[in-house]
Amino acid sequence: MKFGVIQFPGSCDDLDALNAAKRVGDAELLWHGERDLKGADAIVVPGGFSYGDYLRAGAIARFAPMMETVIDFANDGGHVLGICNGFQVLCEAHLLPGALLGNANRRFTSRQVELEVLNSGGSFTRACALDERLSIPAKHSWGRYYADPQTLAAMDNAGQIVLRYAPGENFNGSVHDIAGVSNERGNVFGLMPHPEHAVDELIGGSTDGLKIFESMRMTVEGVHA
Amino acid sequence: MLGWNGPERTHDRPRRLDHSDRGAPSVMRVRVLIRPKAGILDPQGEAVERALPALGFDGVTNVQVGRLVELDIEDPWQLESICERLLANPLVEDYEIVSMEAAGKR
Amino acid sequence: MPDSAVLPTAEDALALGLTPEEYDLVCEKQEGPPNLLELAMYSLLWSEHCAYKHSKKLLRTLPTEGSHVVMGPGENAGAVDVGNGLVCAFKVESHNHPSAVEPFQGAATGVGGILRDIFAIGARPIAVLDSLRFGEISDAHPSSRSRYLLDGAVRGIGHYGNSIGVPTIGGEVYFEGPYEQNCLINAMALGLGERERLVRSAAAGSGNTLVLFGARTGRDGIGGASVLASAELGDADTDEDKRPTVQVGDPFEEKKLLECSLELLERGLIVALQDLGAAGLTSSAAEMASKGEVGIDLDVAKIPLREPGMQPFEVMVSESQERMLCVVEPANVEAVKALCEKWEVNSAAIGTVTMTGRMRVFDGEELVGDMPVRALVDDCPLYDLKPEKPTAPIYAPPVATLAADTPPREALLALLGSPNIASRRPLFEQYDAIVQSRTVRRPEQADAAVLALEDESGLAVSIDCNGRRVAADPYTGTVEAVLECAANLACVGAEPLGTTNNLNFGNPEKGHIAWQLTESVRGLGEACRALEAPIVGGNVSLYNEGATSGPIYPTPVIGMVGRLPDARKAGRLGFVRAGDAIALVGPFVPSLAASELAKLHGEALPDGLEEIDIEAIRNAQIAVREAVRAGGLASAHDIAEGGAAVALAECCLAGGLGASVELAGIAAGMMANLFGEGPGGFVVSGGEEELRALGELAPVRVIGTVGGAALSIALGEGSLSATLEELTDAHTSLRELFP
Repeated sequence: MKFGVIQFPGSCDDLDALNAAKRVGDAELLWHGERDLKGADAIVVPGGFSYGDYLRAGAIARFAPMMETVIDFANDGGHVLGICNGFQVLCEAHLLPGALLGNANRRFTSRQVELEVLNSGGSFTRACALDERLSIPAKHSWGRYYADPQTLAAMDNAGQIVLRYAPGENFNGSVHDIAGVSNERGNVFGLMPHPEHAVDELIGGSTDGLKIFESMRMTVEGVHA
Repeated sequence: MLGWNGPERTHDRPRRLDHSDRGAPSVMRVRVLIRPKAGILDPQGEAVERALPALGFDGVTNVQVGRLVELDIEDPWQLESICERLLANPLVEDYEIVSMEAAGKR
Repeated sequence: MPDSAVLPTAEDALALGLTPEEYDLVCEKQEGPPNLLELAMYSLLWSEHCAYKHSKKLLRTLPTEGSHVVMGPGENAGAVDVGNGLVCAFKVESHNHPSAVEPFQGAATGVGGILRDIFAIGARPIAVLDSLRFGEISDAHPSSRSRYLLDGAVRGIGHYGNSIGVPTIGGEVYFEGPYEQNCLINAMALGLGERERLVRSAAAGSGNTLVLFGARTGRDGIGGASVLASAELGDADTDEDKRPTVQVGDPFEEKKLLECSLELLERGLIVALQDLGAAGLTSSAAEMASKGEVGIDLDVAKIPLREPGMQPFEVMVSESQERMLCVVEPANVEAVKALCEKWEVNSAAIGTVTMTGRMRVFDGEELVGDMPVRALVDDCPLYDLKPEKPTAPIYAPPVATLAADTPPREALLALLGSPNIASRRPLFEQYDAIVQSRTVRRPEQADAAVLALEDESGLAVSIDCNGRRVAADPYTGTVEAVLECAANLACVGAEPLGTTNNLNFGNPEKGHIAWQLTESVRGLGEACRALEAPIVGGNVSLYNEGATSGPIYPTPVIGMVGRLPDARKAGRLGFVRAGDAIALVGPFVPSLAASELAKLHGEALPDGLEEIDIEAIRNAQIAVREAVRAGGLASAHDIAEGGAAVALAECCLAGGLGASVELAGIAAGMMANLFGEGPGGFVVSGGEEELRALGELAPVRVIGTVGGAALSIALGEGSLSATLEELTDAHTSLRELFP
């Protein structure tokens, strides 16, 4: 299985995502200016500050040539994971519903958070158990998830709300404590916390993030939990 | 800082084509205001509102903080599309074109 | 003689910061009065900030060589060998004056500047630490100015470091009256590079091309270096007047610049590299030429500009951020420009290396400045300090915030909640400490930050200085600061490799400040020699005093980097298991003089501190380090501000476990036992067996056991007890500053 990790000018957690993905399969960096996915089975849009977060986080990166290819790939059923800035890019690109706004506390906040798995049947969480708690670091200033009430109701019904901050852990003010969502079809997933920073006991103590990458591998290789 | 009386230096820039010579619309200078949609939490606006009384300014409410984008555009018909696709996120922001006038000469 | 409309006068020279004698010397070197551009360049290069006029002679006495040193002082950063063909580059720098004017941008650009110094030698920046000083901020002295500066500085550091993807892994902040008018913002950075690929800044190769790349040049910080940094911030100066000289940073631009620079080096396309910092193109070009003993011809008309109508001198002194200068063989210039285009950074060929030994500035065809490189850089006069030990106190006693007869339990809670000791979590949560996936010990997990290298060995780093104790005794206080760093490294199991320092002092032309500086450097040298942790680079910031507010505490900020063979064994500061034994380790001789408790009581600074047995302390550090490496200790924590009681409380808080201990007979008096300070003490926990073994190498005194939900300290006469909840409540006092 091969992961493709997109690299924009300003991406910061691209190498971290690459190394996390490599624990589970093959992985290669994909330059924003090109259009070739180089045989990737799944795409990761990583965290960071693409284009300096100028105008709005993800607003400019969304128009990169590589993103055009990724949008086609997603529309064809390809699996795409967006982490933090990547989540922002996917929302701007309308591959995911809703939008990410500035943290309610108006500050960049970096904290290890507990997430609840609300949907463990999907492509990105099949290695998790329902209601399992994942310990994953979150670090952002623009992570307040917002969608209007009708959209939220529809997402709820369709099982698109995949991860939620555990009680007391929501520092950015996301509506309904939403931390990660998928599209209706379930092949595109975005989350604000950073699973790629929870893959090694030595670095941070939690390996819960590995389950997201592992789930993707299982999905692509047709393995079921 | 001291004002040096050195010779004025004009920095060379390429001459802008004057479209009015060819009957096309001239370049317009546009101002677009982008604000958070009503009903969505605006923590910046709230912070500003909270800070004012401490500075001695009372009776100020309903503060919203948005963005101003100014640009010169040759084809103003493109403006709506530019606003919808890039300058604003229509899901959470409203935009308003507050002025449009002939761009000044450089 | 270059063509020029106006010749500046001697008065103009004075206004730019030169003394009459210096101006005469410039005229001599120029064989006539300098023109506007030339005078501006001399005034900057001969400013204290660029030339180190008052400190260079003193700095030459410091130890700079050692078995691990790969690059010593004199280059953009220093570097030590860390095995496997890798080096760790590091340095600390200050951005004090700009931050007092505009804290967000001042701190942000401070981070930007130190990062550029790291990748300018070919190392990838892997971490940032910051060392900050502000005036008092507690409820007893609500200085809104200091709170404003603190808030802005933390946001600025976070903004720049987070955006560029370099983790901020540690730091320190102190709040003391003498910093009220003159805050200190020191930023340290570490980088990782290949020993064989390090690049120097000496320009070389006659006929080679100079390429400027990065952001466009505007009017940022024009005259900032000499006008601001070397002038005392007068109370009459309004911040408004100084604002135009503050630089604005763009971390996104620097991220692109960083990647571009590293790829240029990787591809072997450049001969020499230098970043543009204080005094912009003037200092970078001049220093490159000086190191290479060559000349440079520069054409300002070729430089990409951001503002219209910039005059040649403005272009030469602009401090616009995110720019680098490199020397390229003519055959490689196109490839360099293509690479810059890939990374979306501007680039322009702006000059040539020559053999003339002169710095010649052109504006197109017109020669507008012509100076000998030697005169600009090497011939700046250096001054001898005239130290005079003060006969009267320089600093007013701190304002008392705690009654002198406060009982021990209340004193402990007051100390834990005092701004110099309280948890820094509200600050460091604004920093990304984990990007690049190397961080093994995050803030508040251990006494030093620890990063894992690929071979699973670890890099440890600490930055420390207690300015108030240095004020009490500049020599001893500085030795203590160096020992503090090494102690923090020992607690995670690391051995020191090298040191960097930022000397923040007042006006060195005054005898008592010259004395502080001289004594401090003496202590710095001696301690670094004793610990075999040579100085590989550093920075000096002088004139940190207000016209009416007096000088800052002498603040020699020390940054130290060390290595541990197995990052998995990195030490922690928090207690780990109920039942573990707790011990005090080391030749700890606590005293209340110049302690944090004494400060809360409003006591005047003592005249001198207790003498230190550096050797005994060093041995204790080695013993603790080895015990941590062997896995024999569950936790290790250096005793610092607040003494043993505060250190014990910090271990309880970090581990979420209480403790029952006995503290008596270590020093004279109950309060001295609890809160006395001094170097050389550790609080460790572990099995009885391991602690006994440690006792064969260093003084060890078992004082109690981990367990329960409270910290209980028996004192001989009486005892104190505080629950974890009460300790937490006190310890989190800074939260209200960041709502």
